Amino acid sequence: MNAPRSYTYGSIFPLSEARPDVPLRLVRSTCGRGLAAHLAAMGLRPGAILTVIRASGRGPMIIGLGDNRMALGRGMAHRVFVAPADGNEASARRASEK
Amino acid sequence: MPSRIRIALAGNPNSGKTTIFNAITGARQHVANYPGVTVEKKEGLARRDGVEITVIDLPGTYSLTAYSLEEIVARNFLVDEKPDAVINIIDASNLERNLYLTVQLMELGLPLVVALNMMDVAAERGLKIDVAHLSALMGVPIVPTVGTKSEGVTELIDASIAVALGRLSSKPAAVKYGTEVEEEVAKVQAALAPDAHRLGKYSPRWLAVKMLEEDEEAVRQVGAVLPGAGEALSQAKKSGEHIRAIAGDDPEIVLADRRYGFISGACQESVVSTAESQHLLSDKIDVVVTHRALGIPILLALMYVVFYFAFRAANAPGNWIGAALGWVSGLVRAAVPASPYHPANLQSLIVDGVIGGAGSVIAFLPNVMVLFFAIAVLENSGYMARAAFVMDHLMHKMGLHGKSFIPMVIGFGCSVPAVMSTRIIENRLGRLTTMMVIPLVSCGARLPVYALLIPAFFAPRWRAGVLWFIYVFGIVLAVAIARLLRGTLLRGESHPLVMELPPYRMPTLKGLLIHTWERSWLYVKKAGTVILAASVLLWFAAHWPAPPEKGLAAAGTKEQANALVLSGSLVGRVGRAMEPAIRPIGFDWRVGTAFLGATAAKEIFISQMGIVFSVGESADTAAELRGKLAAEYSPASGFAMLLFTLIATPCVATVVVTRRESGSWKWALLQWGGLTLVGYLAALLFYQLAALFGAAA
Repeated sequence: MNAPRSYTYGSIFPLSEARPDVPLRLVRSTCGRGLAAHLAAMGLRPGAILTVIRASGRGPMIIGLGDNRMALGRGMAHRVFVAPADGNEASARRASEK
Repeated sequence: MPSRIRIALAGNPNSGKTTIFNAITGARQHVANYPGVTVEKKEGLARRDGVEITVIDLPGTYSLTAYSLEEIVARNFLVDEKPDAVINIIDASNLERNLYLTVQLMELGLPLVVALNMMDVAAERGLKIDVAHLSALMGVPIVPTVGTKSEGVTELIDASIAVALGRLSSKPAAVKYGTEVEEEVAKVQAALAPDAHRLGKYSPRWLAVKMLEEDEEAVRQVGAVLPGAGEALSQAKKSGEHIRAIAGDDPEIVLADRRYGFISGACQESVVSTAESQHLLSDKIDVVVTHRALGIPILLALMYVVFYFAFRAANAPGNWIGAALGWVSGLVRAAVPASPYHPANLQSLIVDGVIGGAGSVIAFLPNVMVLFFAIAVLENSGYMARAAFVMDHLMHKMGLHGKSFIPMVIGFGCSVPAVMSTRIIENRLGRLTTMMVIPLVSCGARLPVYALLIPAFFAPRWRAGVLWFIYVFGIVLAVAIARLLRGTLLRGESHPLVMELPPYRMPTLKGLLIHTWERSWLYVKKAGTVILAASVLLWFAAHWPAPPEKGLAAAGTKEQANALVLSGSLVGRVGRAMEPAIRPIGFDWRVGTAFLGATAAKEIFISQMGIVFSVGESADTAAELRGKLAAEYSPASGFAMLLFTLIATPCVATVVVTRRESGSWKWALLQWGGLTLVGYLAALLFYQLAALFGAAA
């Protein structure tokens, strides 16, 4: 997945690389305008605080948004960019694969 | 003063909207489609203090953009039909997300009443909501409700009547987007102003906001209505660029952000949370149910339980209905005279054509009702979304995503609503693929065929297993064919999955019963119309042209006379002509004849076999027919019949609805022809292998 160049600075990474149970702040969804607006309507908007509840293998993940639970496909999770809510990247991001 | 009003219900999926709808209208409901599209339109009636209320249940949506067909339908209804009041049902335990739709409804400027639903759940989670204050901030009346216990529903009806009749004010607060954005909104609005009188039902501000969001539907409608729209559209584009430049994000995201700003402001002032977000019971259940290794086995096991009940528990009432129909047939035989040698008579038309045709469908109503009930339990408890989650990875390999699983599960009830429900899949290729393979999911109409055939050919201990195998095999085949399609005809990128997992809830009996009643009624209506007509038509095709009287007189027994009539009839001739083609799959011309009938509807196979074998001598026609089948065909033939029923010749209703949903006959005919070919090949492969091992005798 190619992240927009302007987002390679700082500790911003795709949701698919996030560790479970660490609070994350949503920075941007790069999945097309209609879908991004739909995500925002469901509460997944820039600034929202979320956690990965479960990510198993290459399947979809469950994320928590307050008391809400949402299923997010892998492809989707590659395109939602997050930052650690407490600024600590080491605890929030998995060591990148490959 | 008007005594008739119309009220629309709007709300997020899983906000308890259907429960409130049921509580308001009871059983006085009517299901239809919105004109031109196949989004379900539910209407109900209620009466209170001499006011006749029509309640319209809009499709559940998260917003009023043009993202999905449901959103467009809900929005167009609100704008075009201008209901007297709109009830917005929101989940109090999930306030901020639900208020997002509320804000959009407020922007539309309709007379709004908010039902703050699931107050019990909110209280459990330690949320204290100052309803009066929230109501003052939003400018709309708010009524707390607990839909599952019908609490607050009377107050809700009273408030919406009062708003509809203008006795209670509902003046939604204006949502401001901040200085920079407001400037741009004003510019677009100004560009629209010269043609304001042509906009009619649209408020210029609302349209301006939608145009800034580059909402396709709004842009299209503006273009269609206004001759000078070019200027407004180019202003909207310019303004959008400006917002993008200063806010660093797409305008619709910026506007969404401002709406959420308004919402969280209102919530901070009126909601107190006394408990930290807790580890919910739902999460604990999900740990097991969505487990990587356990998820799919649990899903399969649950399905097995569903079908066990549909097959076993519902059998006794089915037998009672069968006995009652046998009794009626006996009455008809006593009352209507029949020529002893000529089977083509009025008695046979009534007993075999009418009672045999529609009756056999009614006899399986209990099985179908149990199936619909069980599906409603899975749906209303929240499990269905988990099923989609669990299946997502697998569905992804088919080039689909988890959501495609939901139409397939609905397909267990009936392929027709299943094909309609593919609308939840946004991607056209994914949707078409799902539509093509839905008939491989065994629908309720095929269950009676299985229920007839399986006990005829298999020992009791094998029956549940064979039924389970047929269902699962259909799914496996659907996967294979979908993959094939996605790699060839329908190649392309698939849409990713985004779906809410609602907390598990105990379904209410009332909701389950209403749902079961609704679906079962559709099934009975089908039996009463299409299938009855097809059955009578087939009766004529099976008795015409009649053989010469002389030949009939020479026939010794009634059975011989029947055989003579049928073999000389239209159906018999076509069946015979087909025989060389179907003998390799273990069928004779009579089975072929029955399958010809099943092209109209799957369950006609039963009534047609009944006619072919002149069943109707004893009270229990199903048992009589099974006896004849077991005597005439080998279990290998029986199994080939099961395979053919599963795969080949999707029913006419399915093909017609596929044509409507896909927009062309091409896909409908591909579905019919392709599946029939695959069904033939599967039966051929099985039967020939069985013959090889000497099991086909």
